[in-house]
Amino acid sequence: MPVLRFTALAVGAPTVVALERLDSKIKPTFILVDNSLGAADRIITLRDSLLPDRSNLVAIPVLTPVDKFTATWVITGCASIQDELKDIEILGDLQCFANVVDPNCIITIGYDFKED
Amino acid sequence: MLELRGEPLAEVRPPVPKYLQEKYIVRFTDGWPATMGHVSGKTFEIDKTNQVPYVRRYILPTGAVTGDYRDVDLSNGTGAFQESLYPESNSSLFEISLGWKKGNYVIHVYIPADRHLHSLEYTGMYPLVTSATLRYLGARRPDDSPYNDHRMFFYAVKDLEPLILRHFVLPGVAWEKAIMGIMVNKCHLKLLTNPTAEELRKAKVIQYHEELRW
Repeated sequence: MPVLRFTALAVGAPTVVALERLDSKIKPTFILVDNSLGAADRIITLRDSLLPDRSNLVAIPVLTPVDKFTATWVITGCASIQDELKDIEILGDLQCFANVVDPNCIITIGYDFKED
Repeated sequence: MLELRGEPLAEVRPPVPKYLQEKYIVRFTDGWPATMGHVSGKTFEIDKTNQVPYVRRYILPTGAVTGDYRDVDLSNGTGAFQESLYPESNSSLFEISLGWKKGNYVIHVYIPADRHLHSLEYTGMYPLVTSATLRYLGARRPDDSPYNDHRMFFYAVKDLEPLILRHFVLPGVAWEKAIMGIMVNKCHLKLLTNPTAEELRKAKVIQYHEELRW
């Protein structure tokens, strides 16, 4: 199962955790946020950045961000979330961002690709 | 020409291959039109096969609000919806199997483009994605032909009319990703000019799509 560790970036330039695979959806399996050295509480969001296909009504589809999960990690806190992610499916790229850039807020995300 | 194979009730030993194999015999009925005279009413032995897997995905909005859908055209060409999975040679038969990953969507089959394949006999009982009820009539769910166990089979020859798979995202989700697994079993055909009774008995009969409508 792939895992990526990174520091918190903001919404304007989110971290791309995993690029889309055409033959699969992405399932985030856990998120661990270490905000013990952070400057303030941090609001972390998981985003599904999807590019729809051309359909019978839409000839030129546009990149569409869909936020799938948001939670707050308090200052000095370090906690992981797993169960709450089990029903989240990412159709496009899996991205992650915080409410502000914080090099002291460390995020680790695990994910997998749905096989069925 | 289009088969939806149900889940088997019993296992057969030794197992029967899922796809056409070398030395198998296929017979095209007389129902195939003169435009496809290279196969109509003829019997062939398969002398070579080659399996080509492929995957396509379609991320679509729910059609419940907008009535939107995506037509996937398996025929050849450069059109926006064409997948170009058909043979180009008179001596090729493509056995194409399709399977879908789980999701909140249905698939309707049309061949040619404006003619649905699964309608009933009473007036108005035909598939219609813009209808809240008729969008379920004749609709195939991903579970009917799973990604890892294809059960929908389609037989394509050169110059066959386009087969359309209309993907429609059901209410309940804003977006869905329909993932379609494809296996093209390329079969090279060798004409049997005088097939024996035994060969005709063993042959797999391939009907023209009009024979599925009556």
